[in-house]
Amino acid sequence: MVQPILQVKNLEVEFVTDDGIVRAVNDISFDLYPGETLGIVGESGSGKSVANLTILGLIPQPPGHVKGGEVLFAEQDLLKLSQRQFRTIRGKRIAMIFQDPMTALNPFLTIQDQLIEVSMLHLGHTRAAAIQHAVELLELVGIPAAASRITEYPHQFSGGMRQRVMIAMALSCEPDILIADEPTTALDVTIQAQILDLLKAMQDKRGMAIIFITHDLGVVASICDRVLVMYGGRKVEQTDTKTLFAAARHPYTLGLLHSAPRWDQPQLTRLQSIEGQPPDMMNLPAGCAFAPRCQWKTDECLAAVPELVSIGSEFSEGSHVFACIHADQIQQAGSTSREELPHA
Amino acid sequence: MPNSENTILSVNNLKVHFPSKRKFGQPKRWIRAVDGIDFDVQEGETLGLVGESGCGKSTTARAILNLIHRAKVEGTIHLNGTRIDNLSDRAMIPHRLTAQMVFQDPFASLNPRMMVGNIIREPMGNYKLFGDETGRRLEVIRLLELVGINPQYMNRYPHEFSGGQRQRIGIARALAVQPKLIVCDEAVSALDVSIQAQVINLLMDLQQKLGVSYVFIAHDLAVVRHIAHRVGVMYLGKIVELADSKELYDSPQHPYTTALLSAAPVPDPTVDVRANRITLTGEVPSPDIEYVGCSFAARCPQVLGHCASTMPQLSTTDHQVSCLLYEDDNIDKSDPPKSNSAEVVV
Ligand SMILES: Nc1ncnc2c1ncn2[C@@H]1O[C@H](COP(=O)(O)OP(=O)(O)O)[C@@H](O)[C@H]1O
Ligand SMILES: Nc1ncnc2c1ncn2[C@@H]1O[C@H](COP(=O)(O)OP(=O)(O)O)[C@@H](O)[C@H]1O
Ligand SMILES: [Mg+2]
Ligand SMILES: [Mg+2]
Repeated sequence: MVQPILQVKNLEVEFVTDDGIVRAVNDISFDLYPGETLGIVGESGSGKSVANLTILGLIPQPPGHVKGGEVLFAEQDLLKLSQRQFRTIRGKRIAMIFQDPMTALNPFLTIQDQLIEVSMLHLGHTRAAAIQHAVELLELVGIPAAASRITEYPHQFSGGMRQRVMIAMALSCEPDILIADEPTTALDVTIQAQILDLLKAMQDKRGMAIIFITHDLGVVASICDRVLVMYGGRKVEQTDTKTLFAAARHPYTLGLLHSAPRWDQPQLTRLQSIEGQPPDMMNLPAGCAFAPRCQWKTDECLAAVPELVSIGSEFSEGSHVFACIHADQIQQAGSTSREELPHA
Repeated sequence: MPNSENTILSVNNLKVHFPSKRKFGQPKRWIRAVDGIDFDVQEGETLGLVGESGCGKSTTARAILNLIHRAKVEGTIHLNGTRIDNLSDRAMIPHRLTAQMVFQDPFASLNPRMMVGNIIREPMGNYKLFGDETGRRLEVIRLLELVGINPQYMNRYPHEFSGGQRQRIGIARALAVQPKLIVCDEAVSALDVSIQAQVINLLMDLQQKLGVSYVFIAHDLAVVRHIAHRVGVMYLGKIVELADSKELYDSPQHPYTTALLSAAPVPDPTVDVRANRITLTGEVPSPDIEYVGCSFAARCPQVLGHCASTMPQLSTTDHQVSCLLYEDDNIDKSDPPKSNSAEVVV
């Protein structure tokens, strides 16, 4: 059996602010396997970034506070590491890329200085070898004239190019895990497609595991092997990508699937939106956080947070986990509405 | 362009060139943000405009409403039959009743120190609509209900609402003057998918009820297909293809449209989009270059020898396309390109 490369167990993170306590991540657990891409989807504010920043010890404390849980990697709990110990892992064995490349790039250093610093530090390259390595990486991520442009500053690159530079930097140490937090959300589809292809190619070559945070179901469908759905700081559903799209069992997931228009099919007259608003993370309800927006809710849903239930997945060997007491009804509703969809 | 009675907006050969910051010792250059576009919008119709960032969508939006300053603007814009591109800001005022705009970032466009009721009432007061204050108050309530915001919240401030709610408030404000046309510039782009669907449904319902027209600008190809009746694809300040929505998405003609669509993911894991992907090399070039031929030639997978030196014209058929491949003169379509780079005149 393949062992997970990363195990997140019962992670709880909160922010103590003047207005109250934000319960950003509530009891999140998942395993990540070598060579796979795990998608994380959810509304903005549902805790996707906080959960992943916590894995890398990047939560500002205070106001952040890791209340509980474990993050097991290479036989140690990352939550117990000092910032110094973290430096041997972050950027070397686990790397992260963000939506805004300028959060990772230093505007006052040339691309070369930023790229070689990492590999000299972590891979023990000489300066000359590090430059060589950096140019190769830039070429790999599709920067034209990499050898001459490497001495430029970040602001001399376009947004799409900066994104690729950041990816080159993240890949420069050949990490075991890449955490990608909406890395293509701000990019045009043509550049997004290039970057997704690149990540896939790097993954095939190096067996790197990827956590891909996105709100774009198209991106999920095209690159993720498995998907974890978050709502109100909790995991509400997790399964392989095929099962998720074909047999969702949580009403938020189903609503999300129905909300997304497609460019490759004739338009329906109306999108089936999820009515209402996402929950206030400072005042999460006692019961299911999705209940106020849910057409299937019953009194039971309001009383207590539904437990995660696990069954075998329909389309793969893996399992299907969901937190909804009306899951069967929802899966039924999903399959009926699919039959009603007009096809081209 | 024929100006039929139902034409709300008619744009003819619109050009917007911004002066670029001059680098020392270099001649003055012009950023050709919009470089000769034509389209019209009928009553109750939604025209979508798509294209990669920098292709000139927002500039087009601002030009439609005569909001461009410090630029060279050419061509004509007729709003509801009246030419407006040559009007002063003052002379534009009555025409602001005809056309309104909704922006991507509702927060930036709503005054944070004003209660939302007043935000919506302000334009009504400016134009002395709906009789007196009582009439305007009733209209604010009606509009808030129309866009799905509880009118009891009209004394709250913008920051007390979520992104989706603020976008509804922005739409209510645009509707306050009962416009015939609303230009939506990335109006749903920043919203979560579930909330985005609510706002799209709202815009479509309003069109049904009020007969309002939209110019709907977005980079999300799926959203545009869903909402628009006709769609124009822009590349470097030009419309390269314009057709009925279904027609454009089901049988795109311009090589750029084909490439753009092939890169757009589909929320369905059983569809292998990657298999049909046409990868474009390079990025959209800088818009401060004037081309003698097709500006897409340098990146075009189907480029011909003539493309870099012959300017294609947008055809006048129902499915309009601007590409030599579809011009049926004596062009040798097997003619290979001499070099894969466009000739330019500076
Ligand atoms: N530094 C912080 N201080 C206070 N609250 C925060 C901070 N960072 C994140 N949060 C809150 O934590 C919740 C989860 O945020 P985040 O993980 O960024 O969401 P997303 O799913 O959009 O990535 C949100 O309610 C957010 O406002
Ligand atoms: N006020 C301005 N001054 C100079 N250049 C501008 C100005 N506004 C837009 N541009 C340029 O015009 C081009 C088109 O921009 P824009 O209309 O914003 O494109 P889009 O909305 O499609 O992303 C871009 O190259 C942009 O940098
Ligand atoms: Mg986030
Ligand atoms: Mg724009």
